[in-house]
Amino acid sequence: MIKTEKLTKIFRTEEIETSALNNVNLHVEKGEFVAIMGPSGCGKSTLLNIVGLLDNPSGGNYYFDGQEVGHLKEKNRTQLRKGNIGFVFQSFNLIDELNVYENVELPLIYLKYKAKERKQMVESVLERMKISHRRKHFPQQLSGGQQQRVAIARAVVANPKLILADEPTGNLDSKNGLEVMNLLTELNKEGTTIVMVTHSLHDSEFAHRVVNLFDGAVLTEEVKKQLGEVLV
Amino acid sequence: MFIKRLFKSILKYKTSSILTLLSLVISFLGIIILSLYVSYEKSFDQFHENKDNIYVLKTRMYDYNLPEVLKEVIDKNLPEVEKSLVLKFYGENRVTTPQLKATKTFFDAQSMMASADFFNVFSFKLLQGEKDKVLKNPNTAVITQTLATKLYGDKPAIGEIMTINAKEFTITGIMEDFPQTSSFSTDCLTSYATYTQKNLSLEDRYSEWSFQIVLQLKDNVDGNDVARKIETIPDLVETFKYFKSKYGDEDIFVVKSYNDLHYDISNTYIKTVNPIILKVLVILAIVLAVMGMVNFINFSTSQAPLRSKALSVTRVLGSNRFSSMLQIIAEALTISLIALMISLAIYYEVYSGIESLFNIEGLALNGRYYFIFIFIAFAIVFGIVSGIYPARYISSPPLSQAIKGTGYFKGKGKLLRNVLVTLQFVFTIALLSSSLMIEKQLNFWNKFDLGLDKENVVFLHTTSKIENHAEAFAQELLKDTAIVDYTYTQFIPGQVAMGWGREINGQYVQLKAWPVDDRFIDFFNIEIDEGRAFQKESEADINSFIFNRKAINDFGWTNPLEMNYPGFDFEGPIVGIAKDFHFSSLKEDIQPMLFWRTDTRKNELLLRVKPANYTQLFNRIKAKAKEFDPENNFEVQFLDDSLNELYAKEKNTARFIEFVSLWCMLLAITGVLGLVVFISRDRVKEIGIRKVNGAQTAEVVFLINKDFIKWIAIAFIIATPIAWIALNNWLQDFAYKTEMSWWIFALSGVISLLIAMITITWQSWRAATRNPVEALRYE
Repeated sequence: MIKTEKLTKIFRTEEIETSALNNVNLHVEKGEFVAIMGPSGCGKSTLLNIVGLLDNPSGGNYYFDGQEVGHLKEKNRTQLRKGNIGFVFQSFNLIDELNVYENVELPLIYLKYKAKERKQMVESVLERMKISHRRKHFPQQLSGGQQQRVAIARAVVANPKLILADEPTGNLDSKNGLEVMNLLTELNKEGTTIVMVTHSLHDSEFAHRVVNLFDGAVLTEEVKKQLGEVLV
Repeated sequence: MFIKRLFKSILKYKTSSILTLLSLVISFLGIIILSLYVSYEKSFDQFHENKDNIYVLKTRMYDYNLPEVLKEVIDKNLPEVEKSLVLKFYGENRVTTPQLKATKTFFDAQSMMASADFFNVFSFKLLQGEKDKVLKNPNTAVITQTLATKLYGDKPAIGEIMTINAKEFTITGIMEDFPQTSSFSTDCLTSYATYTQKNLSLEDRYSEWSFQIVLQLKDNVDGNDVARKIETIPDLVETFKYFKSKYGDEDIFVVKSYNDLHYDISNTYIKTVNPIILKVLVILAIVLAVMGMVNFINFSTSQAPLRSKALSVTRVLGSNRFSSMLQIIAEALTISLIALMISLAIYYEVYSGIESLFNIEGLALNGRYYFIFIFIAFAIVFGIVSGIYPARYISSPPLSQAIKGTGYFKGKGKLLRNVLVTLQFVFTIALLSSSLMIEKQLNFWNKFDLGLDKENVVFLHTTSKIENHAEAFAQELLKDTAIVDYTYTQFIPGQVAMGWGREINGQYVQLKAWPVDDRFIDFFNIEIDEGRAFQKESEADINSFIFNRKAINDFGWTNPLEMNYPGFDFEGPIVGIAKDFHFSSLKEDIQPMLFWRTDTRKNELLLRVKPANYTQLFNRIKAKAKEFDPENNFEVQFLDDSLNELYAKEKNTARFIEFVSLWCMLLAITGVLGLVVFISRDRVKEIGIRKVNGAQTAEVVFLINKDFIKWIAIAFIIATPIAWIALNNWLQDFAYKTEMSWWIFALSGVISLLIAMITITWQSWRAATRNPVEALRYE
């Protein structure tokens, strides 16, 4: 599903040039749950952004579902991203001015679903994330765990093939963190591919495979479980 | 230390400071120019010592044109009148001296006639000669210093001879040039005694309505009382019997205080200004000030989250809220003063350009240097007032929240900002629709069917040599294939200046008289309602008349075609009645008039031409004229252009108002631009999230536009009725006016919306095309 060849990313400011990714080859199978680990500044998030079609690489190739997408224009990237990729962030990234329902509805609007269909899809995912009783609340009125559940609901509402999670438990206590990890696992079981960036060894235990990144390059890969093996 | 910190922070918030400065300069520059202009117009005629006691006499029927004999009658009968004057404006004439004439040197100079008390009533300065004596005797004249220098150089002028249109006058006085702020001015004054020495019959004197009467009343006398008394003077009762019967209880005479004279646009002899225009300009100046302040407040409050955090650090270190506020107000004051300096510098560079562009005067400081202090005081007040709200707002969050710089301001003051932007668009839409409406009215005048065929008509002023060979000259011109037809007349359409007052069968009537040749009626395709046109190529109709329908109706004549009408030293038959057509400005109603068939007044030659290379054609006409009169130079003009000049004043003021409107619009755009910059900044995270969730750039741009569209729609609803009422008022003044159209308002709304959306899109596009990764990194 995801295949990168010699992926590089260089950030330039007026004075300095930083190489964030250096010949990264990453391969993720359909249905896999991959955790990317490594110290701060090793390029985890940069890799995730490129994989998530938010950013283009400076060099190398990126195949998404067999299609070369590393050099697409922003407009086409957005087009491809829509409905195919869902994002979950450490800081939730909900829109403060919109309530729970509206936040979750957002991707469906941009996918041009009809209002009736949207209602159905949002209700069902809120139900599933056990947050439907708070559908009229605004993000500030929710606990961190609840906010992350809303964010996950938004990531999955359009039934994407791939979910990218950037430290999804980073801002949560252990109880809420566990809940989020269970949710992700459940989604993975249902067939959604998941790539997760994390600092937490505990969280990485949920993945099939852990990729360790250091200074922009893949250091080691360890297989935790075989694909298809029942996770915890 | 304080000052250093001040400039540091102004420089630190660059975008905000530049936008603020830009909008303040636009606002101040407009205010400077408008206030100088309005105060200049308001200063007219204020230098006359007696100004509060001076009145100009006018009648309900014929405005300021009166028979000069009235002065005598009034002097004799009304003791309330301290002094009175007769004036007559002659316009431009050729003046010279016997010495200069020898070298064929002539000057064009304005001249007017004035009676002996001129320098006692008015405060114009006489440099040489005695006030009471200079205009006392026949054939004497007072000239201005400038004309004196032109005519006599450094030599003394008193006692010298000058000629005005070949008539000789002795110079008895030299006066200072008329101040720019005098409603009327001239280059030389000739004595009224020159006119009275002709010993005209009383009947003749009553029949020439072309003089102005000025009254200086005794202290505490009410001008209106005096005006009412005039018609009761026994000598006048008989003369005005007819008018009295027509106007009933209305007073025939009215007086205009000299203080208001400058604002009476019906007076065509003097410099006037439309008081409505002045009011509009004052309002525009206030609008500019308000809009400048709105932008200022908007820009500084949108900086609140950043400023608040920075200021709170100083507060943690021991300073208090008051000094934070003081700093923000001081910044506002500094920016305001800097903006004033820049505005004054720009003003100084551009004012003369603006004067010539809109054909206005009074933008120069010219001795009004105290205005600089007024402007500085204004900038100080402006800076402080517009600094207070942002200062309170920015320093409002409790320290604990401010230091974190979190979303204390989220949503706060947003409503106010939106209301302020809406206010700006109210102004913009109202001004824009006014400009469009003024344009429409000007266009209406241009396109109006006058009832005479004015297309492809050119004219030239003749000279006595041409008049002497009028037919030969015309026949020569007709040989040119581009010239189709010709006619001679005393006046071109739009400039009929002769008024006749006549007694006929015991009825006194007043009307415009237009001396024309045998070809005129045909030339202009004027429709004859009743009777016939003048016979062409025949002298049989000489001294006969054609009246317009309006005259016949007004005078209530039942069988005009059987009547004879008195001319000068003759009576002539009325041979026809012309359908009413517009022979003067469309600002006025059609007046009673007559065509007088004569061969004695061929001052103007009108030619109907075929479309051609006009420059070449005009040159051929001029060359031909020069053959007949080598000593003169000739000017050929289109009649259309000359008719349009009747509306030149409206056109100039319209252009000026349009310009100021655009200026205000610029301010509104700066305001919107600033808001969008800040809104985009505040919504960076939201935009990022939306893009991650699949929003395309266009969808983000639309999102930001959407908010503004709502406010502009509200502005439209408020602005339309305001503009409607104002324009209705303006149109009231004109006899012939275009209709108010809904599309004017719709178009203004659409234009405002488009301009706002272009501005918003330009800015929000940048926000929308940013990489969402960057946006989300903010967190």
